[in-house]
Amino acid sequence: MGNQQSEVPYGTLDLMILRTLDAMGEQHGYGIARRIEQIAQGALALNQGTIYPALLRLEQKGWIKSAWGTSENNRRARFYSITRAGSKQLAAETELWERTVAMVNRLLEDPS
Amino acid sequence: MTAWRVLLARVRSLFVRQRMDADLDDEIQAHLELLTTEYIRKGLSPERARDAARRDFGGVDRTMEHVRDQRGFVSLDAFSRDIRYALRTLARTPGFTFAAVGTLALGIGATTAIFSVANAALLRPLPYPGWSDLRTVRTTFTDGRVTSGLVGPLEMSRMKDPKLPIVQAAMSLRFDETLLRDGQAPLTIAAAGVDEHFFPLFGLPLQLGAGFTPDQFARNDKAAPSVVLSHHFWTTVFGSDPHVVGKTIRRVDGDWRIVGVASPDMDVPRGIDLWVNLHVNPESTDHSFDGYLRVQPGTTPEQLSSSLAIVAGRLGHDYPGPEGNRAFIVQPLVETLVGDLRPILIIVLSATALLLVLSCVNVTNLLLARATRRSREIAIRAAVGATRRRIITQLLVESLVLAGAGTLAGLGVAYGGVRLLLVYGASRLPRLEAVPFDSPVLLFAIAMLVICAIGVGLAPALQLAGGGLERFLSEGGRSVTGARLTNRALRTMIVVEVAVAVTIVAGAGLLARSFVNLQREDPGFQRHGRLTFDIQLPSSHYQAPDKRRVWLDTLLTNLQGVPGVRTVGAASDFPLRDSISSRPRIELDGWSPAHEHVVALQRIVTADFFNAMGMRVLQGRRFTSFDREATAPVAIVNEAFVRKYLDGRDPLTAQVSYGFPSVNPKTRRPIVGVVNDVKYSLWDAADPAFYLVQDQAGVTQRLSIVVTTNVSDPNALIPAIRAEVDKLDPQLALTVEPVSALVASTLTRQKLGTTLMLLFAGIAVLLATIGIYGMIAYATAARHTEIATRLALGATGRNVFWLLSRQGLTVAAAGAITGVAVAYGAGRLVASWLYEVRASDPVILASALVVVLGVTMVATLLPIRRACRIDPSASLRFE
Repeated sequence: MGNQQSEVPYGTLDLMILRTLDAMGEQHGYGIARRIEQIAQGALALNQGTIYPALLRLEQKGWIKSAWGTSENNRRARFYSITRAGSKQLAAETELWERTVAMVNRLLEDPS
Repeated sequence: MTAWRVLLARVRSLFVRQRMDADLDDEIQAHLELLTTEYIRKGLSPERARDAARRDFGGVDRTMEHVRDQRGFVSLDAFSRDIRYALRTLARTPGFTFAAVGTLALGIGATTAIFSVANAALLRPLPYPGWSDLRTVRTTFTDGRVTSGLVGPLEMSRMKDPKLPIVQAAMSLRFDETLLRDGQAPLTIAAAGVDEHFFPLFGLPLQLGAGFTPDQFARNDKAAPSVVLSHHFWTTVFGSDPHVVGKTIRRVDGDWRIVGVASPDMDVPRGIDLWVNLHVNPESTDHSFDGYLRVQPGTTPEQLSSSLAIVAGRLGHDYPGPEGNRAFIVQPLVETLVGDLRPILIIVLSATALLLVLSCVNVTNLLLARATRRSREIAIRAAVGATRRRIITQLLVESLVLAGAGTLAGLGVAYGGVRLLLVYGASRLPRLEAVPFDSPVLLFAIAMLVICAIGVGLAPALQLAGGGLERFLSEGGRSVTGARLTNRALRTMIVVEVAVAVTIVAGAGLLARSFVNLQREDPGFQRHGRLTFDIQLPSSHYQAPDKRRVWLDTLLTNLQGVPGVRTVGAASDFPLRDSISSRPRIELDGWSPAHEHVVALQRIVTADFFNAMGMRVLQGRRFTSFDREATAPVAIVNEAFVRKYLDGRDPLTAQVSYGFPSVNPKTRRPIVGVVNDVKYSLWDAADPAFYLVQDQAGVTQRLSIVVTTNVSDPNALIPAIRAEVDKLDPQLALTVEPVSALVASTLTRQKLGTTLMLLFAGIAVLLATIGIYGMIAYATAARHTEIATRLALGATGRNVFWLLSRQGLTVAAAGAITGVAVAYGAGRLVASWLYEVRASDPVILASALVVVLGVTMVATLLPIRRACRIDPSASLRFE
């Protein structure tokens, strides 16, 4: 499902999407993918298609919601936005991520 | 919470699949276009830009597939693929498929058939509004005296106390009546006198007419009695005449006015033709009514019985004579209607459940054997990357397909089986006029399907996909030993097969024994070569007792003259017939022994009745033609009377007097004889009874006449008997039947239950034999190399045969012991429903053991013998 060979670290795609929506407000799938790529500055080989199963998963969990609108090129497109539950989840996951990174960093920096 | 939301979203997606696909497609196309535009802006040609966009996006189809996976449950595509694959595999081995589906169909069919009968009789709602609140009420004595169990008006009026959890109390009185018809033979019908509350209690609206009005029940009502016709009586006798209300029904004793036609569903008391308004004295203690209650919804049995205990206590206090030492027994109306069919159904349903276990074990066994042969296929699939989960799913789908086919075929078997049962006679039983295949039955069948699918699928699936998987790969599925069943699994299955077979056979034995006991139960009279019929003399024509006596004497004399007739007797009531016998108080030698109220059944017979019934006079003499009105009155008592009331005394020295409600001293008369007990119900021991002779006690209006014949087929005499009665009174209706048929008809349910159990026991033995044969054959095949090696090393065929047989038979013995234990336990549970059979009956348990072990031995030894006849060198070379 979400774990096919993308070079996105496992489990971080959801976090990235939530963060993007939190920072930029309503976005369609293309916008989200572009934003993630821009932030990654080429460090990430993202198959843009992989965000769609992730979006559906997040929507099923009630962390994001979607509505139909019109894209820049006048096509019918789905716009996603973060929900209140999603914001809470983002906060929780951000904290978890930071703790994990800090822990791993300590481990790697430990000279012994 | 979140998991729940995800589940809901997935379920919803099942219903809007196509729209969601279209939406997703739109979304992806929009994405691609935006990406393409971006690349064009960067300076790429439109084609190159499109390619680049596709590259960035990744596979469109793969994305859609992933989204679909996330959206629904298991991909439906994969599921239908599995089903198609399973169908193909099963079609390749038609023999296996037929055996498996047939076995399952047998198990599921039998279980579903019996369940649908139980559903119709016990679970299906009654047609009355609020049916679960309806009860019947009977009385019993707390001091061991016997009673018909019928209730009286006084009791029922006390139950209308608003403080009780009872909404309504009503009663009915069942009797036979003769209707006169112009130009047609008179008609005997079953009528029920009912009180004011009867129809409101059941709450069904009438089909036609206004029905009874409250003033028709007033005791000063002088109008002609009114009747409500039952729906079936209205259709069969009145041809559904829409103007029937207001017409009259002619009787010898005056006309009845029709005031309504009941709803087609109204059938209380069962089989009644019409209801008549009764004028009852609410203070009467005449115990001759069937009582019905509608309780407040939600009343527990404990609440009801404790409040009725208070009613009984007060009644006993206020009317110590007729109401002392009584208690009330309430029963749901459904159970009263169904009667002793319930225990029989429970026993048979349990047996079919066991049968289903046998079917499942057999099919599991078939699947296991097959799985072994398929090990190469599984190994290849595992090697090319199928996950363990995929393989198990595939195998389970195969089991599901088998179970599904088995259930479909089983429903067919059940349908046919039920029709057969109904034709065979079950349709005459209460509530089984029709056995519908309604939603509970279908739900039950679906439950069976799921149980079977899991039951037969899981074992082989785990076997193959579990630890065995790596072995398949290493051995390449070349050798049968690759997926050899663990010995434990095989042993368990054989133990289950033998145990279940022993249980069912022993169960059938118990029921058959109970039935045979009932059938052999000496009713105290001869049942063969005898005909009996009832006569109800209309009181207006035969008001004077003398007139009745002359009439009866003439009839008996005329019947005696019919060629082929040996003896003719008559009595006030007849054994095994539902008749309300008179049960007066008695005194011996002018005083009441021991208890306060001594009662005995009073039966009035003609002098020849004992002869005609083949009853034996054990002491003293029988009635003779010299016992007349003018001679000294005498009485004859039965053995139960002597046992209970004459404790050790010479009965011929005692005198009995009787009367109701108090003993009439003028009736005192010597006991001149003792006759053997006659059973008025096959299940119960005979009650104390005393006999009076008709010439001294008077001819009753209702008579049972018995005719003994030496003609080989007593039925041949029926026309002649009818002609004799017609000559005397063409307005009398009568049904003549052989006494043996009367006895047999009381055992319909037991016969049905026994037949079914014997049938199922036969099937169980067959299934167990096939199953054990298959398993042993499989196990010995798996030990092929071992056997060949042993033979090659010098063991004789005989040695090897005994080695294997001992192992096989030890397992069978373990199963047999388990089976006997289970059968004994189950027998203890149902012992109270059986007639004079103990669960530990050694003959039954031993016969079950012998039968099952016998066939088990054949099923075990045959395949072993074959296996021992191999040529070791050829066999080993092949390996």
